[in-house]
Amino acid sequence: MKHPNEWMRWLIISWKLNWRKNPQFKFVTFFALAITALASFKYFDAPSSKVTSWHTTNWKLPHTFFDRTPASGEECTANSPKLVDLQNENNKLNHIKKHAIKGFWLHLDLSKLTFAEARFLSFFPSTSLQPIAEQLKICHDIPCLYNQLSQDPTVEYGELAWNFYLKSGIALQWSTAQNSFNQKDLLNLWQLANQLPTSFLHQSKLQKMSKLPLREGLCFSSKDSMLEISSQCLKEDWSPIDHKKVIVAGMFHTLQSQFKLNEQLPYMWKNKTWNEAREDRLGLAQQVAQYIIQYEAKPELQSYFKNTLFKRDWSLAGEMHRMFKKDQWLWRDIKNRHLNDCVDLHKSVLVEKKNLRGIASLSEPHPIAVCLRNTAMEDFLKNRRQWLSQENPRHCEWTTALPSGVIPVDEYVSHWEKLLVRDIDQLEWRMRADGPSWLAEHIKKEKVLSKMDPTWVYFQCHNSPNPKGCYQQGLSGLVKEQERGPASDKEEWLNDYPFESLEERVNEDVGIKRQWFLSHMEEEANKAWSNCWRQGPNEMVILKSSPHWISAGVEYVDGKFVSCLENASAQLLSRILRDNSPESQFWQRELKAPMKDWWKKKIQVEAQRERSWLVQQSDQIKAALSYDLLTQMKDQQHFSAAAQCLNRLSYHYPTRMYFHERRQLNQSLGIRLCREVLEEDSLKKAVTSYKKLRWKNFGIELTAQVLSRWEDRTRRFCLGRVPAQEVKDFIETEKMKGCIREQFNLSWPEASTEVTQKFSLPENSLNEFQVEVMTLAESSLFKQLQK
Amino acid sequence: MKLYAGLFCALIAGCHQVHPLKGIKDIRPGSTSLHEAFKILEDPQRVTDNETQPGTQIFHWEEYSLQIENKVVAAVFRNPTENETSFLYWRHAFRQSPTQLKKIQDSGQWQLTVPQAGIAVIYDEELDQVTKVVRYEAP
Repeated sequence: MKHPNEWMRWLIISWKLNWRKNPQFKFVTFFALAITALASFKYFDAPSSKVTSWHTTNWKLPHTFFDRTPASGEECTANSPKLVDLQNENNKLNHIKKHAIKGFWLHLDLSKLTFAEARFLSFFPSTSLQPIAEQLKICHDIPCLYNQLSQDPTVEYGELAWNFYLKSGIALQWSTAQNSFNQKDLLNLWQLANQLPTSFLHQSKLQKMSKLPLREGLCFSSKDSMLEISSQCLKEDWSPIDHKKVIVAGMFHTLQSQFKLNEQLPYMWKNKTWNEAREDRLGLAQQVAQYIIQYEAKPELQSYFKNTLFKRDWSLAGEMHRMFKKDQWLWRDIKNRHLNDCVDLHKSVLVEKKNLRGIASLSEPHPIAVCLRNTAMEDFLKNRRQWLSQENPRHCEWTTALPSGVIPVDEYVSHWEKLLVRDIDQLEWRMRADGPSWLAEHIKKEKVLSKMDPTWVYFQCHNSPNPKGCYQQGLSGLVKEQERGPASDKEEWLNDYPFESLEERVNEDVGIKRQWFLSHMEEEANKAWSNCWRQGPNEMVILKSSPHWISAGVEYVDGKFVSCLENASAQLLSRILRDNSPESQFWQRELKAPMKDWWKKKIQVEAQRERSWLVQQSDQIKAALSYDLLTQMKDQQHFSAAAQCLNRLSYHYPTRMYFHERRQLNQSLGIRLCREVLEEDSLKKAVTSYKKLRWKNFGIELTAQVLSRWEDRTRRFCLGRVPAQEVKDFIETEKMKGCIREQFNLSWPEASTEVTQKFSLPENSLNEFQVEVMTLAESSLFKQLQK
Repeated sequence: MKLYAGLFCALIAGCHQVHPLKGIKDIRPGSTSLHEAFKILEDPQRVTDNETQPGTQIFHWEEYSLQIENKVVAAVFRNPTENETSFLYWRHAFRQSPTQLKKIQDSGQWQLTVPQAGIAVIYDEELDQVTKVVRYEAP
């Protein structure tokens, strides 16, 4: 039914042109008004569950459509691709030819391969395949390599594996026939690649996947952007649903950190250690897998997954709503393409019919509308039906009848048919109402819209707190810039670019582009690394603030080196992105995390290399230290090898260390090296000789100084008025012995200080001779006391 | 004269008075009591009890938390500032001090302890950032 507004416009036109002076005016007017009233009632009474509002901003699908969740374990096994469709898709995804990757992979010249092929091969060193290089010479593409290496000769095998990489950015490890993914696994992976959200795909944290036996009870394990799936968990007797759940759980577990789950976990400080009750991360990954594959999760997580984490529902109903958003965009494209052709064909009609706007003209079909119905509508509906029933990865579910007997694809296409009829009707009435000015308006609108790219606005708003609101404001602003017309016109123009449709479309494009940017970023980062490495470290440079681009995990990195890499990071991104457009700003934000990851991995590898190198250098360091200690003992009157070892060791570490700070190194490697050096026989002998020499130099003087004070104190504080002839018996008593020893301890500091000052020695440096002096002085003391 | 004497006595008395706590920085783990801490801090936003360790509670405010054991502050926790989120920053800050770095068992977290200063920094591998700074009783 037409909108009442349109009927009113028709009435007004008719009134002005024909009925004003007509005597039958009253009758016809009454009749027209009655029709209008009836139409209005019928419109407002129409059940909204079947028919949409005709404002294009309110294009909706009824909520009750296909609201069916498959039972657990139920699946559509016929979802598999046709080989020709797979190959076509692979060719389409493998279109980027320009890249800077060089080198040879066995017989393949990487510079002559496409970007995706070259990047893929860079993940797998060819050295281990040299023994079978001859066998692989027949291959010039990746599917062939897969077929040869997995020994599955079917063409589908290689194409499926290749498709998975192109779609997800995850390279499947080829290994022995026993351990490589079989064709069933690949079919599951193909479905997942089409099903998973973009946050799982083309991420630098997950670049390779392999299948191998893991320890009992472990279904997956991840490290260094490689996910290992246990072959025990991909058993033949398990259902494809269970296989897919294992893989998805593994993928989520690997990528978990980028989802930034906001958890407030209880913590405590106990025995000088941090204790935190860690959430069961494995359980969460399994819940995510359950949600994506079987569309269900624990009640407390269901809403969180649907509305916050993924903003997506994988059930058939959810999938259909998602498809609907994308198809709005597709209809717009198809409609405009055909409209331009139809307008060109029938332009004269708009001009000729300008004076024939009476009611008689309503009985004739508008040629442009007819043209659209015959071309655009048919094109769109045919396209959708074919896609959903044959090419869509879930085509089986779309073509399998529901319990009610309804076939989803038929219902969906039929619903679209109603919407398209309404949309073209609306266009027709606009053309009729506006006459030739419609054409001018249409041309003006297309000209304005062609100058503004909504994807730019999308990129600008992508990370804002309210992306949709930001996007609508941004588009509105763009239209205002280009054209100052009535606000209502601009609202309609904006309807051509619905946010949800654009979001779906851009996210798919972004996934594929991401690999390209990652590859460039890695290449530039490698160059920056080499450049900064050449400039060398400087341990005097200290970081005063957290770096923005560099992450080192738990490693220490030299201050000058970090500063160099930090500066290089900002510069290398500007070299890759070249301008400051919204899309470039989007990629600058997107590439930050992968760049940090890349630096982190590189630093970890190089730090470990430096550690190994230091261990290899241990013998040389020890030799230098040993020589140094001996020299110090030779040159100084006082030198304690044990006390000074760590300090002296600092001078003998290699000068170019990027990942170790000297004092910190002493705490780990240094303690061991010192212990080993001090236990060397040669050094032990040297220390003993050194001690003997010092005793020779200072012992006599020290003993004399101690003895005089010790005797004096003993006479005053221990013997008192004991007569000389009784001293011998008296000093044998325990009490007396204790007193004498105490007086020694009290005499020592002054005597030792006297000697150290005399010989310019460090304070307390003669304490090592305390025992010897006491032993030597004691017998002299007793003799003196008995005199 | 009496006035001057009185002022002088007041001055002496003031110098002998225990220096009052002004803020979270003045709270010393191991010696500041809960009572003293509450004199300077607002009411906590929440309190968590530890079931495995009776007598231990953690009082939470927006920017920091206090672990109380037997009515004495045992540890002060705070979130790192924006400048302190990188673990590398802390590795540099404490490069001249004896430190201990260890992985916390069964978790993706590391703890960098500076025993002489009574400070520990917790780094989460998965988030790739420092999540907590702990002050505990220094020797």
